[in-house]
Amino acid sequence: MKILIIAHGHPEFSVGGAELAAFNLFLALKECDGVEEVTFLARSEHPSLSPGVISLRRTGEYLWRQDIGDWFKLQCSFPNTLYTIFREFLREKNPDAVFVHHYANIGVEMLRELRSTLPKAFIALTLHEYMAICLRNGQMVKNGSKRLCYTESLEECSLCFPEYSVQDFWLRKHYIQKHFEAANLFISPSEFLRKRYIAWGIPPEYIVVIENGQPTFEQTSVSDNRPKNRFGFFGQVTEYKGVDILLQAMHLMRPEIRRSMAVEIHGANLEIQGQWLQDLIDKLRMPLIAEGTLRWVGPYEPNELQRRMENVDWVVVPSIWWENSPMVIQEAFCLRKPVICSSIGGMAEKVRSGVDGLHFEARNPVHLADTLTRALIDKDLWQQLVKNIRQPPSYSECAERHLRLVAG
Amino acid sequence: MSFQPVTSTRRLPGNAKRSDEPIAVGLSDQKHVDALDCSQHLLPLDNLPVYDRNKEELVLGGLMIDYWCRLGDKVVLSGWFAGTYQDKVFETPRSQGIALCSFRRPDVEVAFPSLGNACRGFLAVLNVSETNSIRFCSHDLLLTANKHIEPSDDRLWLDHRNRLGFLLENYSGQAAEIASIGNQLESASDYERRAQGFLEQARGVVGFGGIVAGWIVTLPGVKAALMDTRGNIEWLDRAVRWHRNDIVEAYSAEFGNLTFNAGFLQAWRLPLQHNDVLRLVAFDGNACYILGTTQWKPAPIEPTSFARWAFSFPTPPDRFADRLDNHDGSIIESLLSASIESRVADPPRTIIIGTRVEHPICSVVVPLYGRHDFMANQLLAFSDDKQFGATAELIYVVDDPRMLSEVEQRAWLLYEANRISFIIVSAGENRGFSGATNLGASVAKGRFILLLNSDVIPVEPGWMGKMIAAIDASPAVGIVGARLLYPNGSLQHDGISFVWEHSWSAYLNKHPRSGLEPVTPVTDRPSRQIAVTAACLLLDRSTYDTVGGLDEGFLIGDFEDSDLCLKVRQLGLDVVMVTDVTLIHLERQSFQQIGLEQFREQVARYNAWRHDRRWRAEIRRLLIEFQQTVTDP
Repeated sequence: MKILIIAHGHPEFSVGGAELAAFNLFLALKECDGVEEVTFLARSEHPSLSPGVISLRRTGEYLWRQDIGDWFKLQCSFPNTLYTIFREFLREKNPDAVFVHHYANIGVEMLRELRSTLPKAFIALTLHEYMAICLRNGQMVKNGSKRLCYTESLEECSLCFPEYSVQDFWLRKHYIQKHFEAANLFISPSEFLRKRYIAWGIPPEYIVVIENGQPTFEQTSVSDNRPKNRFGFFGQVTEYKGVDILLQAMHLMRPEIRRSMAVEIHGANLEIQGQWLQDLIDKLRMPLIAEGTLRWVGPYEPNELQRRMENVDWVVVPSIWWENSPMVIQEAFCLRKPVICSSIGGMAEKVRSGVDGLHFEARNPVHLADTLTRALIDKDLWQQLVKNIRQPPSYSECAERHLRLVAG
Repeated sequence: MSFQPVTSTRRLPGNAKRSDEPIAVGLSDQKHVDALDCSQHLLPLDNLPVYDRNKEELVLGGLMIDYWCRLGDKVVLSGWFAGTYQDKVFETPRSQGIALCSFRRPDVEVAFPSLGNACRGFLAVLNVSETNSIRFCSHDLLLTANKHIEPSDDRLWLDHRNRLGFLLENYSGQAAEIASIGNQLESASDYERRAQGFLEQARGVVGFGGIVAGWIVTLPGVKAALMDTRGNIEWLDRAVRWHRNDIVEAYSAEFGNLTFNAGFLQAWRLPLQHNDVLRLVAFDGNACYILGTTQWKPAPIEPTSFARWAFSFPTPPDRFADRLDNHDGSIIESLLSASIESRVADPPRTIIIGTRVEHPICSVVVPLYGRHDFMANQLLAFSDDKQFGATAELIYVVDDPRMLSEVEQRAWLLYEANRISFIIVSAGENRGFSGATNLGASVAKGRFILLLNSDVIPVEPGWMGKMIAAIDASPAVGIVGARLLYPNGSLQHDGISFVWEHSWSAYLNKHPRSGLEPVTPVTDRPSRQIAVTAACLLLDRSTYDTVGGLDEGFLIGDFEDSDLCLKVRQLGLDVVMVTDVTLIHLERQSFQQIGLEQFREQVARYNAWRHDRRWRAEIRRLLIEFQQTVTDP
């Protein structure tokens, strides 16, 4: 079987959960039985590439210069090259199965071109967030009020984006769905995201859940009697990741309890956020850093994650949006760290409150303060949660599940 | 000339003879009548005045004609009469006709003190026989050269400057004479102020007419009119009036509540010439004076622009239909038909994208205006419909020259993406929905024509086949429409009915139950309708040609679908609608004509007026036939 994987980025240029998932799938599929050839085609915006060009990166790996020309309808920038360069590439590779990871940055038109040039191929599209459903960067958080959005509707979307009418949103949805129809199957890394896409219009039988594969780490010892009072945040410091909620929660804790904890922020990109967020974070973090309870560690490289995460006892995921299947949760579970997370969306699904982690009410720093306090006071809790942590699927398990889909 | 010698040194006014002078009847020297025909019985004017005397030779009455002039085909007499002649002035043969106005002549009163104010000056207008004789005041008078003056003679105008209104009214319809009288008019400042007014705009299109707007305030009895220098008069008694607070503020001290509704709009359907002077004049008794003047300026020739300008005058909504009836409706209509007639007959620019369908069953005509992103969604839908690809010829009419290049640029990409061939047709100009559809139909090769709006998107295949089946099913069916849905699944179109709109005095198209869920179940039996929307409408090519396609005479576009249905009905054919199809119509949800911004509403009112004038009786008949409510008065 010949397999083509199309991703919206190459992890060597763009480190994101979806890019890594696609690339790791590529690596794992190469090792699978019955797979004759695997090709990885990663969208790129590298300036050395002319629009639409597909260029070899290394054996089996290609970079494809493509962009979004219209984020409203998720239309690609260089549609003419779909019918020339991309079509030729497909004819040459002639895969039996195509796994597309994400449509962001590539555009949805590629799906119909795949279908028409490869009429017999199995085409699966892995969905990574809600961009097709929600124009607001696929976050399903309302513009302005930033309230959580539970369901897409033409009228509500038009309220978020008054410059687009209800009719425009209908055209958007119709356009995207007509292109989605070219796929044989959709893969969702979480049940939560699957349900959102079902509500949006994908028939339930066409969308399955496969969790992203994860590396296997050496099991660290959990037998020491040191208090489990170290908490870590890993990820980008954007307003949707909720670092400010975490810091507020710390301020709300009883000081003597707070002083018994250590919180580490391993996060990047605060400096490119809005000034209001930078100011807010600064105001919140300064006294905590002075007090010694907060350590602002800063950004990390992917290969540093394991070492850094091993140094904490708990991983906190306080996102104020739904998330899909946050990689940080999977990574925490691989390292057998219980997770304290918001009780919504993909986080609530992946972390079972009281089983392998704790939920707090999303966006509620008071409740997070209580939850952190509980984690500190209840001495047996940590051990109990760690016992129940399930190892996420490995890369090869994930690849096998993908192959089984092709077989039908 | 040898008349009786004048015995007195004191000349009497108008050459009136003293009452002691002998009657001159019959004493004329006929040789001195010159070329004028005469007979024994005629009394030459030269021999006037004549008197009635009693036995005591006391003057009981008299008649004098000071001068006469030929104005047009009539003669104008200026003179005086006194006493017993008062009763005789109208004793003239019917064929001769007479119009006469009288006025005080203090000089004559002085000459005949015993007659008091029974002495009157007069100005009369009569027809004249070929013999230059008239019957006037019981005399057969011979018009003599001595008393003749030319119309250019200042005497006439100086003596009668207060009687120009009388003259104008008696030369109604005689442009040359009105022009020359009109040129004698003076502005109102010299007169007692019984009217005020001003011309603010006079714009027109040569050969079509114009619109004049301004304001006027008059005391009762004063009539206003517009008059150009070439003798055309338009009375303002049917002008559309509206209230202007600025005029009330400025003139209520003088005119009280007569200042209400001072604004006026009056169409000018008479000939006009740019820069020609137009006057606003007041007719006040026998007088006529100028209240204001302006010059004709050009109005937009392009019909929509003309309408946009014309509709900018704030005529009251309740008089809009009346305004169109009596003022600018016919001007706009004639501008529209002229603009259609003036089109170049060159075949339209046609580009085939893909391959031309050889023997299409159905030609789908889709006009594009303003935006073309709908094409991508439509083609996505068509490409999933095998029947469409096999039997339909798709014609996109780019009715918007601004986006022709862009559409052509994108066309091949859309073809590559969807494998649906189509034809791009363009006239290089904007023709509106009707014009664009007709243009597209002109290149269509299918047996059927399917009119489709660009914002109608089928979401299930097979819809076109069902529409064709409905027309094939019965020779009585002339038009097939389709149930259309809003994006939220509610009805957008489920047949057209008509409701009487009181404030517009017209029947309007209505989409019953629009915005609600369908109540009648989806069925494969087409339902009879009064009319259906042209957003998705199928008919036989020959039917389309027989009725002349869509009417392009509606402004911008509206009502052409019901007009088409009613035209097809007149051929004895029926209109039906299929419901077992799913097509989304992305029209904004609003009652079609109400609540639009002002100009669009006025355009809709114009179109409603035009449609209603043509179809009101037929609509009433159909409403009865379909057992619906007839609501017009």
